[in-house]
Amino acid sequence: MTIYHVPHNLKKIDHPSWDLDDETLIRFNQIENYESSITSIKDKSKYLKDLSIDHILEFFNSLAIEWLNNPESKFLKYFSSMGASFLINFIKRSNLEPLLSESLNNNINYIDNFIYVENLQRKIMAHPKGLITHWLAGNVPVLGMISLIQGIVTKNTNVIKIPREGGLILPFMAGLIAEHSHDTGKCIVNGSDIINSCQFVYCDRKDVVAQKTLSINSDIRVAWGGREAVESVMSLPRKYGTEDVIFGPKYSFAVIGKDSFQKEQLNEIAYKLAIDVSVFEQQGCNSPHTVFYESGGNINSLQFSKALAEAMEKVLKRIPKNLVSAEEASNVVNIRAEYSFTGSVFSSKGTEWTVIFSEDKGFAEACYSRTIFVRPIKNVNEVLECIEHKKHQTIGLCLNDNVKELFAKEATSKGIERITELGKMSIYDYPWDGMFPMNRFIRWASLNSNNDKSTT
Amino acid sequence: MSISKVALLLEHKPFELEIFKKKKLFSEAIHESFNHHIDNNDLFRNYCENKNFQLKRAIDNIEEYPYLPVKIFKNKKLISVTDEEIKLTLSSSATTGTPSQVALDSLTSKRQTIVAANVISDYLGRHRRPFLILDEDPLESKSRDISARAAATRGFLMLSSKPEYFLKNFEEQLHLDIKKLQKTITNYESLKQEVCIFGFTFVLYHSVIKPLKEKGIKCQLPVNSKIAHIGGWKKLESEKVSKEKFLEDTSEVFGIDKKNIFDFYGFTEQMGLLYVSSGEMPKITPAYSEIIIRDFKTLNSVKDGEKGLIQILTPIPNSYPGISILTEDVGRIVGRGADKMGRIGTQFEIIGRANKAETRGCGDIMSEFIA
Repeated sequence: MTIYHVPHNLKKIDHPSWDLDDETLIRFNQIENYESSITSIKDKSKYLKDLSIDHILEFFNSLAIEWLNNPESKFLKYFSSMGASFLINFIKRSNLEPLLSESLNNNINYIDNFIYVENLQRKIMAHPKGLITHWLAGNVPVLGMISLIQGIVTKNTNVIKIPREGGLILPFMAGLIAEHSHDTGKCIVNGSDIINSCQFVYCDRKDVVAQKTLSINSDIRVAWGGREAVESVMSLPRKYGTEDVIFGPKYSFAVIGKDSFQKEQLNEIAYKLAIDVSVFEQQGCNSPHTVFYESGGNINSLQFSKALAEAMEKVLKRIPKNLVSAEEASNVVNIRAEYSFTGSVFSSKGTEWTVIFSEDKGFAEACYSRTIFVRPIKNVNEVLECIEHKKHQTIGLCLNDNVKELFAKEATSKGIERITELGKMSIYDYPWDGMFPMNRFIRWASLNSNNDKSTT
Repeated sequence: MSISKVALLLEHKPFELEIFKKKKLFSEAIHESFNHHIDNNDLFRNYCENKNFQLKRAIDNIEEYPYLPVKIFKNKKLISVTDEEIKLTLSSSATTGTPSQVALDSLTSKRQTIVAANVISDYLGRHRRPFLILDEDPLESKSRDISARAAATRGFLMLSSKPEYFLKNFEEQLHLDIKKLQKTITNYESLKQEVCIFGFTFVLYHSVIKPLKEKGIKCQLPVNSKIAHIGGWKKLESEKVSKEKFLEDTSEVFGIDKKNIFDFYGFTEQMGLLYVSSGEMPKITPAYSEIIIRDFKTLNSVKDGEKGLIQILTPIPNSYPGISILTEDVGRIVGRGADKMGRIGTQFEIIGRANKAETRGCGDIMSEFIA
């Protein structure tokens, strides 16, 4: 069994790639006694538990401002093409507090103290469940950070098992959090003390003993990734009462109803969809791969495809393309060639983006790398027949108001978990994957005493 | 009737054409070939039109020619001759999914035979000699993959005076008959008869070199003997066996200079064209083909030395438009002109494959099978 401790005080200059290679790995210490290392970070978590939630939220809000406004910010320098602005928006108090509040019975202070609840006639309090182990995937690193931050604001101790692909991104980001501190007026909140309640680890996915060790020591197992990866985590032994929070593979798509927008809105609608397609290079479970376009309106699906192609090129300037791997390039070239015989292909000269129009039915197989399939349908309700529970997550919907809610009701009853406007598919919001994740990270306790009505 | 430009190109030896002369002859031949396929293959013509490619009188730069990704031959039946002219359909040895299929007419077969013979004999010599094949005998084998390996082996046997096989399959595992191999080599050594050892890269290492090295057994080959292997490196690399280690160990076990160990690379969609590296030297394009390395992101050609996807153009295929193919192999050009041995062409290295690209090549198939 080998579990490596991955430090968060990495310097980018030491690591030209974000991937965890063998050469880098041997420089990290192996954890000889995992249980005692856990005990150590649990001890350090006391700092986090003693902070008020108000101060924690203030800390993250000030961090967002620092990252956003500081032109020297390493965060923007390194992660602007990896969803930096997405993460900055997530940690702003204006975003984080409502999410937390929804998970804490509409009062974030439950995580600090007992509070009297009139209907229950007793005091209740939310406690962190204990140790969360996050098994992360390499596809969208920023989602891993979102997972971790939710673990932190619920005052849990966090172990983050990083993947090989892009594995150094999160420890590096954590290092940037550790560099930040915030004076609340009452106390100084140190990022380094917060990050001390987290431990980044790596072990080989085939190292069953190491994986079991991570699992058996967890109070919550959070697993992100493909089906094989999450099933592999779920199959590990766990102690009684451990909860699983699974963010498995999902497919998302867009639906555009006929005459759901004015002719002059064509470019705007196409641009919004292009944003959804381009953010995260379609690696997110909320990224659209197919757009179903209802025929019979003023603008036909081929015209829409052309407008979408123009929008993709515009968005490319706003969200520049990351490096493209050989595999991605190969997949894009293959799919373009395949549809060159049977459909219409609009694309950048390189492998940056591709819009494929064809009369095929159903969902296109995801190709990623900003490849979107436009498929005409006679009636939007055809889409409902294709939806599968646990397989499809988000619909970016452009539909007239009079039919929107009925469609949404049907779609969600069949398994869809989110329906958003076009342009907002990639935003991480609540509920996510059918749940309020932070609600799963806490446990409730009650206090029934004589002086119940006096709040603490 | 004037002789075709392709036939003119094939009249030349593979590695003797000076660069400027090859450029002229090759440009004319590939232009003729594109003309043929565009005229006789509706699907290919539409494909080229969709790519905004029009065959002008002359194409200055071969990079302007459109390419087909290699996978397209799995999904599309692309034929540029009449059904009656098809003599044979070749299937690639894909481990999963649909294999590539290419239809051959007699002209394509004939061209393939010429170019393969020219390239192989340039490295191994034209004379026949005993071939010690480190694989199982296809006539005795019940293995599911033997037919693909046997077909690939057959092309080399034109140089064989006597093929002999030295591996046996027991319970889905290949085992070397060490005594038979030692006895055979000793016999040829005493006769001063050079031999050629032939095998699939992974099988050769996994079932022969590795066990012999572990047992400390050395089989000194007769003077001038050669080792030829094909099939790809993917599996060996995943087992952390580098090309350097392969060459080192093979050279040690058979007492042979590394320059006499030849690694052959080719693929079904352009059958007949082989790219050979002698020892540690890079592979080199013969007169009959040209290589372009394309950037993963821009798909433009990259500078020499930079890596990208390998595209190969050749005018050889007549019955199907496999004349400009973008492979899933990643490589880089390391030199142009004459190499250390005086062969003229574009020198290149294969670095790997697009990560999740399908395992291909008989050797890689075998590696899946016996690992």
